[in-house]
Amino acid sequence: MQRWILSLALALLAAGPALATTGVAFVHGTGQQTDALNNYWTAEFVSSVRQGLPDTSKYVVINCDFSQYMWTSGAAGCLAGQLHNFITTKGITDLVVITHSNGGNVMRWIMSNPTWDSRYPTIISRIRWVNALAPSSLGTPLADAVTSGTIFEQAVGWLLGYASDAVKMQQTSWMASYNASWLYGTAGRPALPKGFWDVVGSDVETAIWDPDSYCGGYDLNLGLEVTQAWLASCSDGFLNCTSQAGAGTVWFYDTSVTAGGEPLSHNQSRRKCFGLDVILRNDL
Amino acid sequence: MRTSTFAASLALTTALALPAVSGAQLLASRSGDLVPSRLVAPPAGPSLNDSRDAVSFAWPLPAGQSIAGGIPAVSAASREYWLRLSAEELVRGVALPTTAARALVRIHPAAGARQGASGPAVDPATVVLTDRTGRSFGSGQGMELLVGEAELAQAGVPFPAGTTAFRLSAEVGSGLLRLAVPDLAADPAAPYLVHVFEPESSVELTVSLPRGLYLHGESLGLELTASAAGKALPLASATAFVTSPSGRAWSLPLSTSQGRMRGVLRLDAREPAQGGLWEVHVVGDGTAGEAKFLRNARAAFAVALPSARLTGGVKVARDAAGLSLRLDVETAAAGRFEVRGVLYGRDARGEARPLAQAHAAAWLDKGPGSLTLVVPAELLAGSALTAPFELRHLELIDQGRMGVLHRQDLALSALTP
Repeated sequence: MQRWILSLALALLAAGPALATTGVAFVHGTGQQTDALNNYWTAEFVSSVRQGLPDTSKYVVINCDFSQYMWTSGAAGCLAGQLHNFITTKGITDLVVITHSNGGNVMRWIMSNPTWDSRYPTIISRIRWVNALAPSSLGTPLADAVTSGTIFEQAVGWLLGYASDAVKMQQTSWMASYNASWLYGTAGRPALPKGFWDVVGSDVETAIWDPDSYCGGYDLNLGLEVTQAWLASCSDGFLNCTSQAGAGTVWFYDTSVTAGGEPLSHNQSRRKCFGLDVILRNDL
Repeated sequence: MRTSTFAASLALTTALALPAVSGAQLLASRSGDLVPSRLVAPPAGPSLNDSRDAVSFAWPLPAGQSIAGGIPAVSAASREYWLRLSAEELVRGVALPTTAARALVRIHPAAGARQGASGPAVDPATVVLTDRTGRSFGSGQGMELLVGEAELAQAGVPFPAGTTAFRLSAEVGSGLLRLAVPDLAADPAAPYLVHVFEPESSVELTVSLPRGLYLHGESLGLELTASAAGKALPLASATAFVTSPSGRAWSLPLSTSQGRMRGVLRLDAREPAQGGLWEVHVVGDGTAGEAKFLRNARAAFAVALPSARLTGGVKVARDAAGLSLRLDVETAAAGRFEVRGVLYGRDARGEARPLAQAHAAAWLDKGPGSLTLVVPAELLAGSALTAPFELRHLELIDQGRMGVLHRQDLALSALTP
């Protein structure tokens, strides 16, 4: 309800003489991206979402190195640079940020630590809100599993560990520490300066006869069904629902609004599946 | 636009009606606060943030916001363990204690092997499982969700190269199982890691720390407990050690008292800034009913080198720009530091409620300096909360080392600028 009241207020403001210039940014998850449009989001998803903009050219697809810790120049610094360039060159005054997975943590770093970088305040001030698709706000037991047992190597200097810094960071106990000290928006912590709205994926469906299982790629969904074995009954194959809903405010759980009440796997929550693109488009 | 002009006018009127106040002092710290007693110069090394820009920012908080005080405790419960084995041991077979059916097992060659060449991935069809009655399962029997590296990679989870994973089927049951890979063609010394996760087990090993933030020189207190469905279990043995972000490691001796295992370690944070966290690692074993259990657990925490401190002096001022709080700081070395805190105001019933979150950061030279929190006038004017104000949840942060140096729940009260 709170979100719809905000939408109404923004619509009323937009009807006034000082029209906002709305833009949308797509912020990818863990990993280093150089062509996130095609390799992370897909062009059909981005193209569909940006149809909701008054000027469909006012969008940016972020390409950064989110295999690093969230605060580094290659992660949040790179994201800040691309967002700052986007809003200043395109004159964006009303920015909707769409993040996926660990991209939500990097965005939350910027919003929680506005003095870290002199570009952060400008970015925060222009944000309307963040739509966080399956954010890994409380980490994931899969990051715990990936890093388990590596201490024998890590004890000689982390040099021989298997995981990237971003994966280490998304271990559940690490995210608990960062949420308690460096990140806002979780229970008992100060609110973020702008809304952080969670879209929660609750299951993975992979039936070879079910066409829904093929949305986003059958093989990718099959992998997530396997990794679900490490997770709670409510999960998207990579994150427990509790993690996805752990910061900000839940906008919706997948099955409550998707076409056919279909769940969104961690792969499908960044793809044109079950009307997600239309929901995000209509939110602009 | 009309709204902004109105807010600014209100703020100016209010400011002119109020006298400026200066010369306040931070309140005495209370139990649960984090306050450095002395400064320690950090070792040479690159800074994680060397920006020279002075930046401040504040935003309104929801009036109904509830902000927890103190430093949260840390607790991590485990239903998993891992074994580091040689290929030779895998060929001979190893005991796998389980306390519930349908355990998840993951096997992979250990990367970065120092004592031998890396071995190949284990073909799950060559794994032989033996249940507690001596019944053997081979050729993929007794396993479900049998996957290799390719399938796991599809999930986008960076499991180590050569990972094989499967879930034990219900017919294998639980108890002391045996796993062998008799046909493994590898250097006998090649290391492997076997990771066992028991999602359906009620047996947990829990490592607890009283708080998740420490300063250099403080003592880390650890408590280790085992339980099954909430009922305490005795630990037959346990070991613990601590690692720092740079990879230094310390053994943490444990002793048993009143059925609980505890350990204490004095923390030494004198290392270059790394990012990352400290971890405590524990392994414990015991018996739950008739079943032997084995568990590894980890918990993360942060340790800061007290490279700066708040000396207590505060200059409070209110003018057309808003409310400013200039806090005196002393640093042991030049660096980028930040103060942040929550301004509380009074509602119509006189109850203190969060009004705004304010941050300010700047590069400070070694020695005395200051940082100024500013709550803009329009933010004050836009709130229904009024003076007397309080400054709570005050923190001093070393942004160059990602260290929380000071955390104080109630820092200033009865502010009536």
